[in-house]
Formats: sequence, C-alpha cells, structure tokens
Amino acid sequence: MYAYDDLDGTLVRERATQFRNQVARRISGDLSENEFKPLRLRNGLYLQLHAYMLRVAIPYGLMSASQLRALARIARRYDRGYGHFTTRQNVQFNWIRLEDVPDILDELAGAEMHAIQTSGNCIRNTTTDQFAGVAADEIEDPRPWAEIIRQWSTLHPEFSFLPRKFKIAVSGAPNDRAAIAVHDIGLSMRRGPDGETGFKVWVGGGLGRTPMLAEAIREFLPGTDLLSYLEAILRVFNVEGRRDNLYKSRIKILVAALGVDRFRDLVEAEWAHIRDSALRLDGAEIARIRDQFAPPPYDAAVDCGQFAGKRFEDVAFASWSATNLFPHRRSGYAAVTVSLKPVGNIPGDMTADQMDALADLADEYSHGEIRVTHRQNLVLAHVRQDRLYDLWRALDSLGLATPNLMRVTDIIACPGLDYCGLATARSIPVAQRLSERLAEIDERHDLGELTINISGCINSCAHHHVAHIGILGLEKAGAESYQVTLGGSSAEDASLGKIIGRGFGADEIVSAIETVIVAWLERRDDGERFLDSLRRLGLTPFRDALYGAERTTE
Amino acid sequence: MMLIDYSNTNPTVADDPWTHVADGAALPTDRPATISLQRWKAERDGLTGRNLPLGLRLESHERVDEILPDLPRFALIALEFPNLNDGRHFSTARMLRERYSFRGRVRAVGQVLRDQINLMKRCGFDQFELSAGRDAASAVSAFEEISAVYQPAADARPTIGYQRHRQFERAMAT
Amino acid sequence: MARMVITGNRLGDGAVVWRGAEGDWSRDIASAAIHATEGQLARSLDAARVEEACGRIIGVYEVEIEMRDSDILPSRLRERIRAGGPTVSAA
Repeated sequence: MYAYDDLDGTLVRERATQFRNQVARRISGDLSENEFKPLRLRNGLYLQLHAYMLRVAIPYGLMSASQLRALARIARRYDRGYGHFTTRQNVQFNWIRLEDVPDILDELAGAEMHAIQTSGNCIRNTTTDQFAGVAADEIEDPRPWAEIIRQWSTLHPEFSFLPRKFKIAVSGAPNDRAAIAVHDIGLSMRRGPDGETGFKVWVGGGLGRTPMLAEAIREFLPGTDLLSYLEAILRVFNVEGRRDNLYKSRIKILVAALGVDRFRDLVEAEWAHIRDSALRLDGAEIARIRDQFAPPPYDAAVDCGQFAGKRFEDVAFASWSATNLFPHRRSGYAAVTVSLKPVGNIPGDMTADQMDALADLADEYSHGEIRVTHRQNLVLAHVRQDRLYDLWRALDSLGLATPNLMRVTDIIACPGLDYCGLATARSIPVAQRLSERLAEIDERHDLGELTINISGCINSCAHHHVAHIGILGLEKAGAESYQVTLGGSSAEDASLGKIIGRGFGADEIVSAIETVIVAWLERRDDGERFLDSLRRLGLTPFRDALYGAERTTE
Repeated sequence: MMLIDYSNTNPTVADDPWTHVADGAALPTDRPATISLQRWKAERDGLTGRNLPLGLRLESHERVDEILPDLPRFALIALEFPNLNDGRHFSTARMLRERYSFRGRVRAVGQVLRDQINLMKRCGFDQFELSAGRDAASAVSAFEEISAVYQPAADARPTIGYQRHRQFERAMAT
Repeated sequence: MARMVITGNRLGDGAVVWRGAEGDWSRDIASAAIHATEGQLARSLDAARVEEACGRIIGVYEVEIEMRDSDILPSRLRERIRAGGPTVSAA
C-alpha cells in the first residue's frame, strides 16, 4: 500500500499543528464558533447529539495493521473503547472531546493517518472497491488512481469552499463494487484504443433528498488527463453550483438543471484551457505510485484440498465459506469479508480489542493489510485457502465470523437518532430487531442475497435508496415513522428504490419487513434473488400485502 | 479593517490608500477607488480620463469574463466573500492570474477569515482585508502554516510532485 | 406556553449541559431552570446567548419539557435521547 514519503508526512503534520492552533484560538475565544465551525468540519469534527464525533479518513478504505492498531489506541484512550466504520470507508469515533483532538491528530499523523476533509464542503474521501487489486474481473487496480486523486484533492486551495460536499469513487472492474452511479463523480476504468489506461467519467449521482443516478459525460478519458479533467469539473461546479439553497447545491442538481450536454460542454471548454498544464500526469509519477500497490509476495503452491476437506467436515465453516469469501485473481487465495454485523448487534461497530486482534490476524494471514467496505464490514484480501479454516476459527472467537455477507442480516445502518444531531429517527434499534427476526427466517428459507439499508434521516448516509429493501426513518407527529423503498441497487445495474406507501411506526416496521419477505417467498422462483423477483413482479404484490385494501398514491 | 499585503516578498500589515465608492457617488480625486461591475459597465467610457488608479469590486456571483478586454485598466480587483462558505472567487482569482495574466492587485474583501488567506494566496490573491482587532503577527503567520502542497495553483510554490521529481533527478545524477 | 428549559453543549468536551437558575450550566437536567412564560424564557435565552458568545458553551437552544412526578423529561424523542444517552448498546 502507499507509504508516505517525507513530503506526505510533512503535510499531515503541518495540518495537525495548524488545527492545534485553531483549537487553541477557539478555546481562548479568539475564534468564534461561527468562524471555527467551517474549520473544524474540514477536519472531520462534528458536534453530534451527545459529544463531538471525529471522522478519521481511511483513504479508499485501505489500511495497514499498524494503522488499525492506532485506531484501537485512539478508541481506548480518547473514546469509549469502540469505533464505527462507515459507508464511505472511513471510521468514526462518537465520544470525542475537542480538547483532545490536537493530540489525536498528532497520534494519527504518526501512523500516516488524518481527518482531513472528511467533512465540510470540500472533496471528501475518494472511495473504491474493497476487492481492488485482487478481483479477477478487474481491468486494473483502481487504488493507485484513488491515491493520485487523494493527493490532488487534499487541501486543494481552489476547492476548499465548494457549494456542497463532493464525493468521488473509482471502480477498476465492470462489476461495480464502488457504487459509482451514486457519486458526484464516478470513474470506471477502461482500456483505450491503444490499450492505455483510462476512465469512463460519470457525473451527478447522489442520494439524500433528491436521489439521482450519475450521467456519463465522457466515454474515454486517458489516465494522464485525469487530474486536469477533474479540475475542470470541479471548477465548473465551484463557479456555477447553487449557493442559495442548501438542498439544491450538490452537483447533481446543476447537471440536471443544465442538462448533461450543456454541462459537458462547459467542462470540455474549461478542460481545453488546462489539459496541457502541470496537471498532466507523467508516466514516472504514475509508475511510482503504482509500484506502491504491487501485490504482496504470494506463495507458489497452495494445497486447496485442505480447504475442501475442512468444508466437508465443519458445517459452520462451510456456511461461512459459502458467503464471506470472494474469488481471488491468484489461484489458491481468497479475499475474506470480516463481518461487523453479528445478529442483533450494532452494524459497523468494532471494539478496540477486536481491532487489535484483527490487526494481528491481518499480519499473520493477510500481509498486514485490511480494507473497509461500503457495507460497514472489513476485508482481509490475501488469505491462503489452506489457512482459511484457522483464520475462521480465530475470527469466530472474536465474534467477527457471522456468515452473512450480502444476506439479510448484513444490514447497513447509520448511527441515527441515537447519536446523530441530524437524524429524525433511530436506525440502530430497528437494525438490531430486524436482524434477530430475519436471521430466523433466513435460517429456514435461505433468502440469499438481500440487502437492507436503514437511514435515520433524509441525508441517507446508509444509502437506503440503493438497497433491495430501503428504510428511511422520519419524524411524523412527534413519533418515528419508517418509510420503505424496494428495488434499489448500487451495482452496475444501479437503480433507485421506490417508495412503497405510507410509513410504519417503530412498533410496526419489523413486521412490515417480514410481510414483504413472506409475500416474496410465496412468489419466488427457485433460488431467485429478492431484487430479481421484485423486478419481475413489480411492486403491486408487496403493496397489497402491506396495505391490503388501502390504496395509497405514490 | 486590517489590510494584509503580500504583493512583495513578505506579507505585511499595510495602510490602505484605496476606497470603495458606491454607485452614484462621485469618485474621489485624491485617492484610488474601486467601483462596482455594474457601474463600470454603465460608465466605462466616462472613466477613461481618470488619472488615479481605478479598481473593480466584484460580488460573489459576478464574473470577470464579461469585461476581459478591460482588465488592463484596473490596478486592483477586489473579490467579495459574502460569507465564510462562498468559495466562488477562489476560482476567479486563479483565472485572473493564470488565464488572463492579470498583474494588478487581487484583494479578498468581505468575510475573510485569517485561516483562509493561505489558500487565497495560493489562488492568486495578494491582498486580504481582515476585520479589525485581529492580531497582526498571527495573521501574517497564517501563510507559513502549510508549506507542503500537492497541487499546482496560481502561486509559484513548488508542489510535492515537483520536489519528488527534483529529488529523483538529483539521485540519478549522483 | 409549554414549559421550557435551556440547553447547550460544553465547548471543550461537547457534553450536553442544562442552564440553571443562577446561569450555571450542569450536566444534570434535574438542575435546569424551568421557564413557564415567554418573558422568563426570553430573558434567560438572552443571558445564555451572551454566555455562548463568551465561549464556554455552544449551540444554545430551548427544549420543551414535561414533568413526570418530580423529574424533568424532554417532550420530544430527540431531546430525550440527547438528555439520556443512546438507547442502544452493544449486545
């Protein structure tokens, strides 16, 4: 993975020192809260319901074992012994004191980590596929490009006060595991006519109040032109994006208002001016960064008979192998998903002890590397198949081996009203109760791939619009009211879920979801995925099951 | 108001000879003055005889594109920040410097936070109006806080990429 | 008017605090001054905003409450969670 040189390290240390001074000036009163707020947001520090929350960046979801240990130390020393992994591959600490943040940032800097631009109206963490570098279907590893984008976007002086937040995702494979269709800029790797590396460029995706799928603005962009093209898009956004209305200031609104053709014209016109500038990437710098993502030294001969044998012997291991393993491009290896969704527990949370233990397992089994996924899980990407059984037993003893990747209990939930100052309803208790109820049903009926995402407010940080079953928690007449959407997908067949009808109270939502599942099981073709059944059947059978004789308008 | 001037080698707190004149008010005869874009467009020809330096003040939604051929007439362009979130003129300043080769003063006015001036400098601003009562030494030290920069901008600061390239060349030469 | 108390967060550690009758800020909602009239509330809010401007407290606002026996209980779910802490815990 990318290792800082002196220059990278200097920037992060300088930024930590700068923030230390800003905190001191705030505490002394030299800076008012109004002046300080944009500064602390640019450093990932929110004031939430109970305390400050610090969002630490995990660039494109990749970290080393020693970085995970640094997070464990911070959880223990400065928080309440746990952290929460997010849908944008970052980590959050919920109980932070402002006074401690300068020391936290210094510790993070020591581990080549930071909280730069994890919040605020600036370019956020550029995310990618959790199986980058090991997926067999990859055109090329997207991570070097994500690192190139990270550097270019860090403390970019022109784009530090954008109309709104800005999120970029890069996918290296035709199977989109990076949700590029719902990002402000989505980059999908392509090969050019001469076999050169390049990207198809998408703009204007995003969820929240007005969910939209991105539109393609360029079929092929050569890799050397990546930064100049991004700069052109950001400049058009910075200048033309709306500043008068918080709910209409994302780039998706601008693209929709101008129309994609007019938007493209503006970008291409701007790009023509800067295409041949210092932003043009040279082969040497691309190579230098690519070299840092070279595969680890894989072993030559791996006995896969062992793995088959263990699956035969141990039913629980077989069950986990069937769900939580991803085929590796290197024969004899597998990419392991470490589930942070034990049934009935808080999705995405991990204790400091678990972090330390997993760091040791990463060192022992996976060349010291851990990835964070969009589903609030973790990945050990380089595991020998003949060691999977031992790894599984270790994970199981830590409560990290729930065999549920992409299944109904692999629920994505934002912190919701239990933690977040923006929330309108709680999401975690719904996730916990649903998980328990649906685990039973899954056990009996083998529901297969079925994603459920629960957002505690319209900002949709849990990406409920792109879940097979999405739940949005609102407040109606002083009580929590949960709206259900069906049929979303964040993969290359991206679609936005449709609202199925009136919302359900906190005491109704679990049985409502159960009703949906039962209605599906009655009509499911053999082994069919929920999403496919839904696309085949439409919403009517589900509406009828939920609302019966009531007719609701959409 | 405290004016920071960084149009020379070092930033200093400076006296301000400039004044902004409202539309309709007479221009002073003893000092340089800025006028609004609207006024420039309306009175353009009438202002050519003026001996004293003239400046332009742009609101956050206004663009220089409309008056490109006139840029050499202005000794100073003031770009207004109506609040701490509106970053449009970071782009305007860069265009003035990098695309239109504007050589006069580019001044940040309005809601300008000491913690933004380093970023503004990188975009081509060379004067900054901070609210009065601020600590001058602290303001000036804002420019030194981040020396390592990744991306090229309107300033001449060598980027991290450039420094790496030089290190590589030096290593190759030995 | 419904009964109101005044709340904010402590600057240094973000802790939820409640404004008492003497203008003291405490983590315990039981010590919050209860306001029954618009006038009382307005006067306290003015004072609280001055305290906010002086820097130790941020995000001052008013919260509607009801009395349960002798306990002060925020009316809205959000405010109850804010006062009482998360309703969830790790299994």
